[in-house]
Amino acid sequence: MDKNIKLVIISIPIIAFCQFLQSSSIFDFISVSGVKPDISLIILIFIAYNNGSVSGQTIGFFNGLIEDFLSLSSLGFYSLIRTTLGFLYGIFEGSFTIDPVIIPVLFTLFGTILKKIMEWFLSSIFSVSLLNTILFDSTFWIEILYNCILSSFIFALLKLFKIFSPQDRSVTDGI
Amino acid sequence: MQKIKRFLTKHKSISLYIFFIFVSILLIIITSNAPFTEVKGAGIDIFSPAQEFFSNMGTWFSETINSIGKLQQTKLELEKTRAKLLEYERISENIIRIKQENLQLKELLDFSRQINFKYIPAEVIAKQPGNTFSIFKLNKGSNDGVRKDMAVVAQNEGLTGLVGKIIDVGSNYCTVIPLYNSSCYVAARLEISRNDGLVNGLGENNDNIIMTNVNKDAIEEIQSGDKIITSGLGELFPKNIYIGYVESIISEAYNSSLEIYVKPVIDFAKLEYVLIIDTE
Repeated sequence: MDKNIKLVIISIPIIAFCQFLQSSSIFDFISVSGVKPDISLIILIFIAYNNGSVSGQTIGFFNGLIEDFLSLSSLGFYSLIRTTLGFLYGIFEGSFTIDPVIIPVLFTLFGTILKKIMEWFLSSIFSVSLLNTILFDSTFWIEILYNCILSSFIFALLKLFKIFSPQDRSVTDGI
Repeated sequence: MQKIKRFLTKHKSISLYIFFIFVSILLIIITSNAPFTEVKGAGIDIFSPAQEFFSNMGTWFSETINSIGKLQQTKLELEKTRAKLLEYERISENIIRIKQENLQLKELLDFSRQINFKYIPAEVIAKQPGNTFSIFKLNKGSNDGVRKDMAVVAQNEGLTGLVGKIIDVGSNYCTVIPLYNSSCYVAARLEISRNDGLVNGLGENNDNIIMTNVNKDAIEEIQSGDKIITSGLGELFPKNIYIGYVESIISEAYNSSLEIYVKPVIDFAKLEYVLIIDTE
């Protein structure tokens, strides 16, 4: 099976699992002022950066669609946002060496900011009602901080899995 | 055809991106229209069982940990409840007398309309996965008689308080938009002064809501702590359901009406069980 297809098939349920967890009462225990971390976003960023824009945007599209079903948004809202994030991070595949702390934090910081800006922008165009009408409010900053703190740990955890690492997958496939 | 194929293969990433964006925009445009919400309703039925599973897992986990502390708390609550019961027995005698008087007065005024409510109990199984929207998912759907735009209430400290309304229905699950969502509007009234207004969510996670369009002259009649109830106007929400308490009153010179900040009766952070009102 093509390595990209294998990655997409495995990644989509994993990120969906995180999305279900995020919507459950389990995450209420770890929320800060009602704000939950977006773990599925961090995982998408890691996979997209390590595996290219084709895998990244495909995974982003389907997981965005799942999030649309789970949330109040119209279908297509989050699939558009996550496809774009997967595509953008995939374009920069391999451009930087991922160190344990700084790169994960920076990637997550830009990814969260971009996600928030796109949510606000799309809601204005398509008249989708958001919880927060102000872009840079407390929810915004808390989510950014929370995501950045968790990013290093999640990146380190995902590096352990060969399927998400292109070099290791190349060795495994005998290329 | 060959040229197109070569172009698509050469620019695979961009082509795929354009395709996904086109599909996403099409979906947003299509699913914004009412007839196509059936698709979302089907999705609710597909994904909600998994959400219910994770919710049950979380509930078991928290209940196991909290059970020890709850035992002591339960003992104290039992004593308080016993004392309240004695008081309520005394009050109930008065209520029976007042009810009879009320019936007689209604007959005199020729009130013929009967309001019969049926309550559908439901459990909160999931909330919004992100921080951008605010919704609850309940474990009842069209198979249980749930319909769109039904009001949802819950009990808190002996009061029945408004939670929100149903906005999406699947076969066995439904989605509720809560009171504090900025797109939720409720026709309301102050219980004591009887002034009308409109309650709207502030769109923030701290659950505060605001009542607007209240006559400025009413400022003398309103006090902090006054209860706010649904007025029943517009017939979307049944009347006399508690919404919250007056927290503060703002009267600006440039505004033709008062702005009242309201503390909801319901503690949304602890919401587990609700009742869906069937007015038909």
